[in-house]
Amino acid sequence: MNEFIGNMNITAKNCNLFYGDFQALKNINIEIPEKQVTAFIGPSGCGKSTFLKIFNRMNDLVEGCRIEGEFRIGGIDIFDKETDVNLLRKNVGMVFQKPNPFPMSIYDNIAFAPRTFGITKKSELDEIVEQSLRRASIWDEVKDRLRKNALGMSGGQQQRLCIARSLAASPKVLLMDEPTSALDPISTGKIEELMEELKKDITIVIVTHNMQQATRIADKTAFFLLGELVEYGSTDDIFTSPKDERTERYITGRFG
Amino acid sequence: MKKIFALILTFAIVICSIGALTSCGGARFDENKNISVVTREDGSGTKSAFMEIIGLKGKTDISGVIVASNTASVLVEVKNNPLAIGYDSLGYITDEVKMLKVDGVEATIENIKNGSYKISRPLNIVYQESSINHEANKAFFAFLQSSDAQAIITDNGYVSTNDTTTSYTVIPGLTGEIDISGSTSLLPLMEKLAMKFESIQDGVKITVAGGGSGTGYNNAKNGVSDFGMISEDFNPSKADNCTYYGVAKDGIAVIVNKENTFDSISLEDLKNIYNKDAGDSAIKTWAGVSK
Amino acid sequence: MHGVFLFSAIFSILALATITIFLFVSGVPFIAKTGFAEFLFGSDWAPVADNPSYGIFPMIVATLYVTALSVIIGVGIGLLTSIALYKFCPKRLVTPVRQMINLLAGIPSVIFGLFGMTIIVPFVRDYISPTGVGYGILSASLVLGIMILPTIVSVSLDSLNSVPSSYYEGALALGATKEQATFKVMVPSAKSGILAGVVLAIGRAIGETMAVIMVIGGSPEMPESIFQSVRTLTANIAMGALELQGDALSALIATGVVLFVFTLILNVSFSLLKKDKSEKKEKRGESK
Repeated sequence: MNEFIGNMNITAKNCNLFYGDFQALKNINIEIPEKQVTAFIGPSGCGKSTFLKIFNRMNDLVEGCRIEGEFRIGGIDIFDKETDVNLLRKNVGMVFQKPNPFPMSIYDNIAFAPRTFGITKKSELDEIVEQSLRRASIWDEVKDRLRKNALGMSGGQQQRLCIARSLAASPKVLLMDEPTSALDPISTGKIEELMEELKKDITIVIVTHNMQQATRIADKTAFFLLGELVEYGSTDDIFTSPKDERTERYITGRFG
Repeated sequence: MKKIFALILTFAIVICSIGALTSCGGARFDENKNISVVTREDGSGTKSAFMEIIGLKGKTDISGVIVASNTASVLVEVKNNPLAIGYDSLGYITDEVKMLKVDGVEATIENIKNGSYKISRPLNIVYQESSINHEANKAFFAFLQSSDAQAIITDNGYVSTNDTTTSYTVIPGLTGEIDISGSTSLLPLMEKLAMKFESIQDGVKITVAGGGSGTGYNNAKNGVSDFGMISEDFNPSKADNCTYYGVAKDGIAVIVNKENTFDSISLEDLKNIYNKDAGDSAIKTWAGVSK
Repeated sequence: MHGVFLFSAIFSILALATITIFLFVSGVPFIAKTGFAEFLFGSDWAPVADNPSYGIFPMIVATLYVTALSVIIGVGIGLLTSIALYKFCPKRLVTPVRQMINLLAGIPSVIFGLFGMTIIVPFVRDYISPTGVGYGILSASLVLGIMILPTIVSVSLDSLNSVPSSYYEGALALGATKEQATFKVMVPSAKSGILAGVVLAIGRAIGETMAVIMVIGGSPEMPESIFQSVRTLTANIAMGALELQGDALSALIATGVVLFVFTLILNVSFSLLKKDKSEKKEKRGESK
């Protein structure tokens, strides 16, 4: 069994991904540093979400999806036979575009992952739930209604609940797939603050359509176009002095 | 996961087919297992006759009895279940089951006729000699003794009591009304006979009513009915001005599975199998039946 | 023409009203005559005995036993089947398997009875039953369990399919296995739909007559073991209806009243469950 410890940087070498005959990702090579926020930007259908999902192997669910290349998180080959995909996903959490809390109580939502991994003691669970909700800075809003159904919360709260739910699995990496695209500016702001806080311990990769968001939160930015990684560098460099003409056209809003 | 699923599916199918095949084979007869007692539902004529003859008239069923809702079900159960015992009108028995001798006497038409087979009862009519003088009554009485009537009797699973080959001679222009009442055991057969007679002699109208053997005696004695029906041996003290004629006999065979090693059963044992209140003498297993 | 439509619409209501009135008018006076407690809780059923008694309590209990056991069997197998069809079996098998299960729903109940009588009863008798009796609660429940499978499978599968797949992905993304995601998130989310299916199935099991009568044995006594010949309410009515007369027949109609009340309760609880489900959906902001 491969354990996820140590430096949680992410590397992808010679990555190709096919849906049947269609090649969605073309020869992508990238190194994502640990404990930073890395943003994937690019027009719709450029493959950035698909690429993101490789790292917790959510593409396994997609029929006809074939992946080539070498992927390592913290040095571990995530497609290796020795790698337990469930353990991988516990360590590489994911937050989806649309908030998807389970139709159960707030408490049970947060306790889902720890329970899955065998924690049953109530005091331990209580501790994890409170910690996770605090880290997602939603504790004060929900501490009095932990037993209420999570579906009764607002969209922004639901998304932060989902983040807290991922944190309860104590992940080393958090993948966020356009986490704020369905939310209002205030909720978006709260989640961005949260990411600033979280990156102290966690490697964060975020897919976003919102370039301002990338400039606000990301340390590094990668620009994808038509399944290719066009340019990758520090956010400042990408947005102030892009090397590639296509990047420049995109960030100045001339296409996409 | 998918492989496991396919494996489970195949496994289940195999188990099911083996189960289906083996259950057709069936188990062997085992004396020490409980007898599966098969009876008919309440209200069945065969049941009330059987219970009456073995001396359990009006008693409720023993516990665990299997109630078959028609003649065919009795046969199917006894055919399939090595431990079963059941009963059915002689006319319905097929050679897929085994008939038991009762008190050593085989259930044959011959033995029912001569009265040596116990689980049978006469189906008689009682009447005053004078009523036979009446034209229509006389004709119907003659019809009952004819080969036409015998055909109906045997076709319905009863035992005919006489063996004439003379068929009934139609009397042209005969008119009249005939009133018959009494035993409900004879009732269904009598209705069939009456219907046939009415179709031959279309000037005659026959009314057949139930009421029980007691009613049969009384109505014949008091002249209320032309014929009274009774399902027991004629007892002159109940209707001293009457005489009787045996229309038919009702024979009920006791049947068991072909695997069953018994060939004979005593009436007493039979009663102890079917009797709810038999107490200590109740027979639960085939080992308890005396050989 | 308008009148024809109206009449057709009213016809079914009329039929219901007539049946209800028939049942109650002919059944209730008999219950009153026998005594309510005597009838419902009496333990002896002997309608043609010298001293007739009309207690249907053993049959009520037998009906509940048979129904409960058949629902356990049916829901157990049916729910697992629908889960298998939902995520765990090869995609190209889903449609054929589902169609085959639906075909099961179209088989006349007398065929199930025949199957039970010739396969299940002898099997139970020879290999399972310690007393050597094949007829009884277990056989009837097995037959009924198979009969209610299509209801359970199709309702459960529909409810599972109507649960947003984002829940499933969410659970997997937290490191749950496929099984954990299904049993801890998807099944609980589809709970109310599955429950409604179970209630429907209970209704079918309680009302089923033909198949039951062929495998239940029919002895009107208190169930003490699952290998014992007993009689359900429906079997009681069907066994005697053609033979009995007078008070005994009234007793059967009164049995019908009890059965009618049972099914009425089930139908009401089914609609309550459905209502509950649609309210929840509204809260979730979905309309289905």
